[in-house]
Amino acid sequence: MGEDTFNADLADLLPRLWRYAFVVCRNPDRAHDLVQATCERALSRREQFQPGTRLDAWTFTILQSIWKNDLRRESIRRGQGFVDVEHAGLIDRSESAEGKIFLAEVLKAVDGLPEAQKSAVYLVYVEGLSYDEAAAALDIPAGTLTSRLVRARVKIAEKVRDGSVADTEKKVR
Amino acid sequence: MTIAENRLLAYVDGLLSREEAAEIERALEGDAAARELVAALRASALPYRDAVDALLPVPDLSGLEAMIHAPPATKPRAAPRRMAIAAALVVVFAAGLVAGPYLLPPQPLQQAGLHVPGQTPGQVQWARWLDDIAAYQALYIRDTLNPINPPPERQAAQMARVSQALGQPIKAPDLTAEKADFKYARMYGIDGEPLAQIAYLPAEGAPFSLCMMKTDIPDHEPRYTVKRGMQMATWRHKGIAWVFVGGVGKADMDRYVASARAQIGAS
Repeated sequence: MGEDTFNADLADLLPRLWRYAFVVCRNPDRAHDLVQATCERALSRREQFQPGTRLDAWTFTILQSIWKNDLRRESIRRGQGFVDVEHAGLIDRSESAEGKIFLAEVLKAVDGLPEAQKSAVYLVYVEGLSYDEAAAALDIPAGTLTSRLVRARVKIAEKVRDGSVADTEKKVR
Repeated sequence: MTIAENRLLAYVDGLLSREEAAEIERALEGDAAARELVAALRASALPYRDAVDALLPVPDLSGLEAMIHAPPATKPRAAPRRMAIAAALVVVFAAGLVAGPYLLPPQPLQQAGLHVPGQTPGQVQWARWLDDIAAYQALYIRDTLNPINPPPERQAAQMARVSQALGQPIKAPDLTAEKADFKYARMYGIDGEPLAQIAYLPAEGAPFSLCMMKTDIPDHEPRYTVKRGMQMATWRHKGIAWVFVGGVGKADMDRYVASARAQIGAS
């Protein structure tokens, strides 16, 4: 992969990286910082990327590593600025159709998961990574990844059953 | 339960072959617990990607895109470094420092007049912070901001966030008469205190920023210094500490500062 292609492909990933960063750190500005740090590290280590493999999975791995090792503790220490997706001012509520309400409930259900489960659900069911790719990004065994997915899915199913998420329009991915 | 959870998950997610799925279905007939788990997994087969696509709009990332295509010649700084520099900016704004081109002694944050609810951040090194501030702004080149042309509604949303964070309406000074364009406003936070930055790109020369944070120090006129080629000016007006930082000439800074102060009613 040439430098120009690598840079262009990395730039194309920016929206996906930002959304994942926002979901894990729950602050728009910190998400921006996290994506910037991810891109800087990806650019400095581009020779480590193996052509033919998924650049998105590779960069999610970098992002997760920076979040876990460098930024998460700092964000917790600072304590303030955490917002849930419903109150982040980011949810586009310009349409109040039933479909949007349902999708908002789905997003809220994911946001309510513990961070480890939320990351697993996001990488597999939003970003489309395989179980193995998501496990590698999160630096956990594949069995741990699937266990987290199962626990998360059971919790979300409980929300469906208690009516927090309307039991309609189901489909994964 | 006689069937492994990961097999049931793969089954519900449609990742098994027809033969493997048939094997799972035969095993389910005699395993009530597994059937219950499969029902839960099916109930939670929801349109997660559609939800994110529809409801999490991505902000303007053109600055990051520009960084990817034209990384600065100087060593890139990681986010924690930026946060540390933002911390330095906070203290400088709050203290109304910028007293001269010489090194200043360390002072506690609270002595600087900063709102620090319930905590003492500790001693700080002013001289090093001044260097950090100058070095941070020095990383801005024209290409950092040149590709960024956010629509007015996005800029308005950014300023609404700034106003909310600083507890009073803040309007970005319009410096178009001085041939400098407002590019974006961004929020930082340090020790619970909001810090705002408005980035400008002049028609010629280096970019500059106006930064703001809350202060309880009385209003005062601009104070000036130069660090690493960066012009700096700080002043206070009605509970907001303003800082100009940029690699511009003194005369240009004076024009920008005079226009900004006139628009906020400080002069």
